[in-house]
Amino acid sequence: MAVDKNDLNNLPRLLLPCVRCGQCRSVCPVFLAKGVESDSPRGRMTLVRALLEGKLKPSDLLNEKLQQCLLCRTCVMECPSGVHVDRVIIAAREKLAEKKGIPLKKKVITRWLLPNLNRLAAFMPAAALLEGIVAVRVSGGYYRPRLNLPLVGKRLLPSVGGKRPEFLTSSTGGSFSASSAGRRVVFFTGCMTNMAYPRVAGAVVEVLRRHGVEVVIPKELVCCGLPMLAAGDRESFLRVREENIKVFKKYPGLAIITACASCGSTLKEYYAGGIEGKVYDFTEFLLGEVDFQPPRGVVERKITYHDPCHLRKAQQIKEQPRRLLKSIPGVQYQEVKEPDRCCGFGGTFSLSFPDLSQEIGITKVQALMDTGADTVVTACPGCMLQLADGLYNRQSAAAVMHVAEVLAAAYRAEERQN
Amino acid sequence: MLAQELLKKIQDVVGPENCLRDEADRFCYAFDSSLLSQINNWVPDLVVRVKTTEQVATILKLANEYRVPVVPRGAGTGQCCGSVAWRGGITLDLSGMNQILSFDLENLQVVVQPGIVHAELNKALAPHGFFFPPDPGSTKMCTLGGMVAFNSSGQRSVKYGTTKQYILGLEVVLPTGEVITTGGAKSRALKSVAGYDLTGLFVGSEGTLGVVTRIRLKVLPIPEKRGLVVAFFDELEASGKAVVQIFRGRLLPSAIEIMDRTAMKAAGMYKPDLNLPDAEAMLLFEVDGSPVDVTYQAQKIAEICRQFTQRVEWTDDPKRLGELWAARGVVGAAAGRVKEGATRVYIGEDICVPVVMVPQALKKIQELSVKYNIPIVTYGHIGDGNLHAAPVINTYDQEEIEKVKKLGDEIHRMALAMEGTTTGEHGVGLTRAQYMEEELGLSLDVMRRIKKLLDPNNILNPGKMALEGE
Repeated sequence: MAVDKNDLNNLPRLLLPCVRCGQCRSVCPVFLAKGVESDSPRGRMTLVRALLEGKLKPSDLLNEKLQQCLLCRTCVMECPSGVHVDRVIIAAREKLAEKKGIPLKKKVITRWLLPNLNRLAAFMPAAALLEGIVAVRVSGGYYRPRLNLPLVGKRLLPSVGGKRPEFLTSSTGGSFSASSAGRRVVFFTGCMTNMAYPRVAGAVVEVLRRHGVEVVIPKELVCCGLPMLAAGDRESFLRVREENIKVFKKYPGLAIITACASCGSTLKEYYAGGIEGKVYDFTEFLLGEVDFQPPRGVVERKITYHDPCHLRKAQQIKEQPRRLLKSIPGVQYQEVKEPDRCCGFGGTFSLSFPDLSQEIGITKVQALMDTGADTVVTACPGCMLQLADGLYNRQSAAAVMHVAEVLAAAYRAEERQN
Repeated sequence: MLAQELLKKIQDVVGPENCLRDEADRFCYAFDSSLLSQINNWVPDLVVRVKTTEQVATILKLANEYRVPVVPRGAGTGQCCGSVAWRGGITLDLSGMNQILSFDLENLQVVVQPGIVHAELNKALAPHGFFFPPDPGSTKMCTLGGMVAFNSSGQRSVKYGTTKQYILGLEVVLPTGEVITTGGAKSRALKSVAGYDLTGLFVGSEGTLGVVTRIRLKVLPIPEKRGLVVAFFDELEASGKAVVQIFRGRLLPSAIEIMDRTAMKAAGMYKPDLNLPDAEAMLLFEVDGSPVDVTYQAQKIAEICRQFTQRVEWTDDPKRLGELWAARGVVGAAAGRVKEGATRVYIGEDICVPVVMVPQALKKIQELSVKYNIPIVTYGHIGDGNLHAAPVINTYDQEEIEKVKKLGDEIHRMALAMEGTTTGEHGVGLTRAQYMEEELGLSLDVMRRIKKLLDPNNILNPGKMALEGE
């Protein structure tokens, strides 16, 4: 169901069901890390209601508390009364932004950087030259900044200098079709995949082509808009949404594939304009829309899987990635404790609150390491970045991969066998 | 407002980072689940997060010296304003004291700090084959300290009783700052009659007599197996008779739960997959023990139920067990969904009446629902007569709030008229203080004298439980 959720005027009704039972305290990653009631979803709901009723005035602390939500929806899954905490938070941030404006750092990201990301791809080769200067190369194709960099701090960064699939480098000049037979789909790559993990996009295309699917990646697509929504910047969100919908309209009737849980949930929930019911996560599409051919090539890996919040909690996609991974010969699958526990990334949350983001991530990373897996697989490039950073910080040698990458590796192995 | 000098002294004890002074922060400690706390603005002047007994003792000493109210708080999951600082002052947040201090399982006991969450304790005990039996619906979030303060229980109290039966001893900081240990200063004994039962005095004292900082509690081996009998009744009376007949049949299920028509409807609306049939009431009987025993008890209960209804099912299949319990599990949550634009409120939600009176009480509550034109979803622990009535209103509507207050009052008065109590497991706090004179009689006077003795300056959770009198 894709609807235009403008919840600002709806806030009183959205807040009404909260009976303040506190069950959200038992699961909220931010509350579990900080332990203060105002960091629990129940506390945040109270703050929003007090703000609406004029009992509290906007203040720095109130603002910080409302920004310090990952929008992971763990509480939404847990809430007995069905409070849409994420929607309340988004609307409340919009309200705060109306009063106090959006901080410059976020503005730079939501108004300039993300809407223009596809145009910036042209500068990637130049940026790649700087990699070795500002950062130290570490294994897995990542760099560790030597100093606190603007926006990203000292977070592990994927190399931008690696080989980019042809269709992504061409995103600055013409769309690309990957096959000519069978079904056609639009692939919405998204910012994280485009900039940080082009290898994931490559794998997605490779796997879809194996199934006779023609993949179109329109060059004009921009950010899905979730960072803008999360920042309370609806105006910018509506702008990018309109741009994207304009592009989708050029491909009427085609399914839209995402391999990013966050992009997928945003397209499914916050978009309209004729794409309702046509958006599929990559794993969902493979198992539901085409005749999935399990790979015959062997991938010798001990794998565990992390459920991205925006896939499992927002899109209710839990089994598909697991089924795909288990279908690969040679894969030894080990379920992790609390597989749907948030990794702490939260998109711009990790930029605004890097220390808290990392602290929340530690529990997740430790659980993943405890499985003894050599490969941590997930289905969201945001989670991939966070997990790679966390694993590196804890001296783990485990690789981080997208489901599509493991599948692509298996098909490649199959070809080699033949 | 707190004196600057006192604030400074408290900051020296716990560190400034553990003193929450900002209004937004304090606002989040102004409530529990009760309707009363929701419609008032009882914000503490300061929230202090403590980690040690020594910190608690120093703060109480200071508060006593400066005559500032102190209200202990765990997770704030209560329903009677027990942890709400309605006179301002200091809210003492004990949720950070959440460690298990020792496992002494050969001796059937553990020692814990008050901030540990109930489910976390049982999670830690399970691998050893033990559990702490009282099982409140708020298991995932409520703290043991809160359970001790309110003598909490839950579904399994039919067989396993309430929290007080499991408390062997307590470390308590008195309002004047002294630290005492009840149940024997150095005791690890499972029972003792040395001295007054001070443990019993503090359990259920709702944070008015002292702050519990350490709990020595008894645990039991986890039963090998559980089974469930579900029966649907066309008449409320028949359900009550079935329960009595089961006790007469010398059976003691671990839980006997009832959902009336309203509750079944709510659960069905929320989870249609439950496929609940049309009936006036459904009863769920849980039995536990050895595999042979479980089968025997379940079959016998089913047999007795068949004297009253033909719609009886029993299972020991964990999957089916989970599905059937799910109906009871979701009802509290589902209550608020029976009316669009409204929510469940906690008022008149915890009466306890003699078991045989339960069907009559359920009928009366349905009548009150019609009288006030407020949907009420009712369910509860029929095995001990404890009923949870959930009125559903629009909390933005002042008229509805006034109406539901009257409704709550009628429910409470009905319970007293039935020789029951206004609260079976949630507590008195502020929401039921007005009934204590009638309910307790002269005992209330003795309670007041005890309060005066231990808390001469009335600084600890003042004004709760009707302890101040007229």
